[in-house]
Amino acid sequence: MKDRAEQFFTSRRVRDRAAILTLIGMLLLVSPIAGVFQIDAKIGGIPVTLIYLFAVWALLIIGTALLSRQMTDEATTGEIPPDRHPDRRRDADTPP
Amino acid sequence: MTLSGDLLLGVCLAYVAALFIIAALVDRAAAEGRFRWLQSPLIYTLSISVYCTSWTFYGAVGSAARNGLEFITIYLGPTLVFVGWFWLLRKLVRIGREHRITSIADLISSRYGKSASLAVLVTLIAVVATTPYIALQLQSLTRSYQVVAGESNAVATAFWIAAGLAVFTILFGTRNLDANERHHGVVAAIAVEAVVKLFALLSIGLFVVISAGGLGEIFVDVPTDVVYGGEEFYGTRWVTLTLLSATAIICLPRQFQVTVVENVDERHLATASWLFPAYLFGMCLFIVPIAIYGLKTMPADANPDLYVLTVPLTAGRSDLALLAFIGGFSSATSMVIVAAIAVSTMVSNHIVMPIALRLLPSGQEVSGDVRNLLILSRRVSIAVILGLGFLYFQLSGGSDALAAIGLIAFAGVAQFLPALLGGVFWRGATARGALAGMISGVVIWAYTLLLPSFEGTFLISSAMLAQGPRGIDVLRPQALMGLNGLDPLVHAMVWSLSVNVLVFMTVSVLSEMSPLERLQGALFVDVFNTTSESHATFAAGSANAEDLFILAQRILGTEPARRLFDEIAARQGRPGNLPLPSQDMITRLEREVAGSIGGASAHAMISRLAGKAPLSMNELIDIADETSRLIETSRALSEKTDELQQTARQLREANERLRMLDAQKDDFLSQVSHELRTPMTSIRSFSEILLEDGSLTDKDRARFAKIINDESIRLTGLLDEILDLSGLEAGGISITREPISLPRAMAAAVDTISALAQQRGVTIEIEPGADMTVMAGGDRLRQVLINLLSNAIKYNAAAEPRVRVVAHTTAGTAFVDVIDNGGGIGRDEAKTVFDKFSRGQRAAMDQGAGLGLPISRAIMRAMRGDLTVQFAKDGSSFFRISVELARDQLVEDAAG
Repeated sequence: MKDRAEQFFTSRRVRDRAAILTLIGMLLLVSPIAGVFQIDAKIGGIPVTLIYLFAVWALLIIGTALLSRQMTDEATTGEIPPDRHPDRRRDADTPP
Repeated sequence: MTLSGDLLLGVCLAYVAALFIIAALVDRAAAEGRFRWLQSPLIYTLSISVYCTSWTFYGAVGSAARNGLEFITIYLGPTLVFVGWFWLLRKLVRIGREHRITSIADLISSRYGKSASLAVLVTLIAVVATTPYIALQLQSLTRSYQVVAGESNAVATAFWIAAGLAVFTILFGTRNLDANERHHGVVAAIAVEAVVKLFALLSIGLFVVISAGGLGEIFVDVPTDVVYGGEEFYGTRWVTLTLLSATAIICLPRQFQVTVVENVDERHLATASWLFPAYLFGMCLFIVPIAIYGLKTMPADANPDLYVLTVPLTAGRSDLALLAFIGGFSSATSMVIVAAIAVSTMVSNHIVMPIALRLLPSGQEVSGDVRNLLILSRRVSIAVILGLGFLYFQLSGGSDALAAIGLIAFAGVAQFLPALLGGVFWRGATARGALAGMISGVVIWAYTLLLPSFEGTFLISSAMLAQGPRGIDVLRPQALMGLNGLDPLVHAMVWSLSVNVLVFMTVSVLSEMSPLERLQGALFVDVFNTTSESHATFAAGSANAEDLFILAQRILGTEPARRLFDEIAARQGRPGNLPLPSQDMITRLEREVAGSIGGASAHAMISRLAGKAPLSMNELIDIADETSRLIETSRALSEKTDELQQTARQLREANERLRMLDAQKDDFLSQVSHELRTPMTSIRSFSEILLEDGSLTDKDRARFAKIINDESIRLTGLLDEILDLSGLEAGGISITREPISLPRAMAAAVDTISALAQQRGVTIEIEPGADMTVMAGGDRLRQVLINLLSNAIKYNAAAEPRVRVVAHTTAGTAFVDVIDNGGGIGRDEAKTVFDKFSRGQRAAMDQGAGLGLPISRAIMRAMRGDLTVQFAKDGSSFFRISVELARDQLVEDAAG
């Protein structure tokens, strides 16, 4: 069992990383910076911007996948997941 | 080349039949509890992909052919929202679960004090935005049908498609009312459709890439400008479209339905956060190649929106064309089904229910069958919404204008965003602010975007579009306030959203909040730190448990209602009975009912039934830090209650003791007067004889005088003893303790009593033990010893009376046992022997007052010692004095 303070610290670090990933995504996809990669050139016959957009997209997906694993770890969120919340336990046990 | 219409119809029917079977099987499995695999994050993610409608399936390629890469913004917005799921989506899902939210209208209205008017407004906007969108799906279905099967009656096709979808949706979408009992069958069918459409689009993409001889080959001789879409790339339209699609993934009623309402486990969202963007990535992967390949190979007049179908058809691959057709069919049907469920829930909960509540006479909600009414209204709503979509499709004549409706619908539901975001992040947001902001946003949206989209055929004429109403230039719908040179969509978004936000915030800051609004605001904004269950939404009042039970039965169904009430009753500690209609119980019931009919209706219904006054300001003084305050208050209250109870208990105990003491005092007084009366009587009678009888001899006179003298002495002694005892008991007489030698005190006492012992022929044995120094008053200790010894001597009826005085020590205390062979006292007697005026059986014939032992005990206790009756193993008893050893004695003991 990790120290409580350590847990909060880790959880904040993971959240910070997720925030930065979102910011990077916005910066690379929806800001004038994205325009920088509008190059009239092709790599392997494929226009560069097309490659650029899909590459950024793929990296965002991979980054989110890595972070989401850390974030669902109960210890890092520092919160009780709703289905283990004592108030909600009944819902989880009762078949619909 | 085309496929036969009969074959196509057969395929469609078979596909729909397959969906029916899947939904039915899954619903049955869920009913039997075998639904674990259904609750996987994969199914959840696939159901979210209802975002990709036929507008995506066919339209994305068309958009890429016409406008280049711009189409991708529609998928980048949702990607960014899911990448940042931790801040918004997670909160929405948690709120949805915590408050049993049934739709986006329910969420917004619940947040703003369960406002019915907000719910109605959101519902109306949703209907207005959804109907054309459904028409768009019908249009793309009929068009694809026409393309694949050749010309046919478009209207009839659309009608039968709409009717079939209505039947499916009614069958599987209205099985139950409770949002928490999710639509497993529908979700599974949607998930299957998601797989089908992705597979179909990827297949066409791979076919195109293979036909062209490689991905790079497709772009040969194609200028990058065609791929990118010209100069406007990354301009304001790019940003606006991304924002718009990001908004749509949150605000579209069907997206809210699958993401928030149908969510079974919050952790599924973590998986969807990357899996859903990955799905979109897959859908978009071959859009550009298909578009470019279509541009290169298809005739110039071919509709790019249908490349997905026409490219394989032209290549003679009718099997692929059929697959593409099924993919498009999947995209359209899944959207229509989910949208119809979401909007019909809103209509029945927020429009039909409140009207029914108003029309039904008071009390009718108990006797009337609300549950059937709700299900019926939901079914009718589905039919009506699909009918409206069909009507819209027919009236617009399948015009191209419909193609633009996707973005227009996005912009319409985007008007929910300020109220939604403000609601979950800003406590200061008010219902009036949300209402005013949303209304102004929608009006501007309709004026600048929706009505102009009809191109002068509906409400706004072409002239008005070009010159403004009555020629007022600043009011031109697509250049409001002379804001020229913007793309119409960007123009509409800038105006509608900025006015919406501004009005929302300004009115919020200026308007008052109802207490319920404040409470809900606090609960929503702080959803991760609070649970809704502990918060009452009613002030105290009276409600009838039976009425509440009947109401719950009507809405939740008999069995769930019974289970709920049993559980509440058990929690209240009265299993097997109806629960007490406490505040907690009513709040809980309202929450459960809200899961079926929405927060606003549930609140209205229960408050009407319970006849409760709404929460007033005095009861929740400040909800700004309402949670902590409530906890603080209740803790203070319970502390106060505890304190009061303790005080009451102490008072009761003190009272009890006082009564006892009072009784003892009465007892004591009567005994004292009795004891005093005996000597007084003899003194009086003898003195009377001496005074009145002159014939007495001197001898008699002397004898009588002696009796009077003896009795007086006895009386004085008695009074001394009483004074002594009361002084000792009241603590008025303090005994100075000093170190004295115990053996010496014992010897002195035995010396004093030896004359009496001799007279009675009693032998006294003394066993002083080691030389012990004890803390005591010397005279007082001797007094106690003498009292005990004289008792032992006087009341010893043995043939050879003997008394032993034995001293010994244990752990800092010295003991002196006075043991006689006269038989001791019984155990019962031992209890009363220290009571005042009690005389042991052995002393019953004696003249003693019965104060000796109580006094002795009081003396010993005043010296921090004690006097007790001890029982030996053979049943005989003896008296034991205990007294503290002196400190230096202790040190010596330790040293020894």
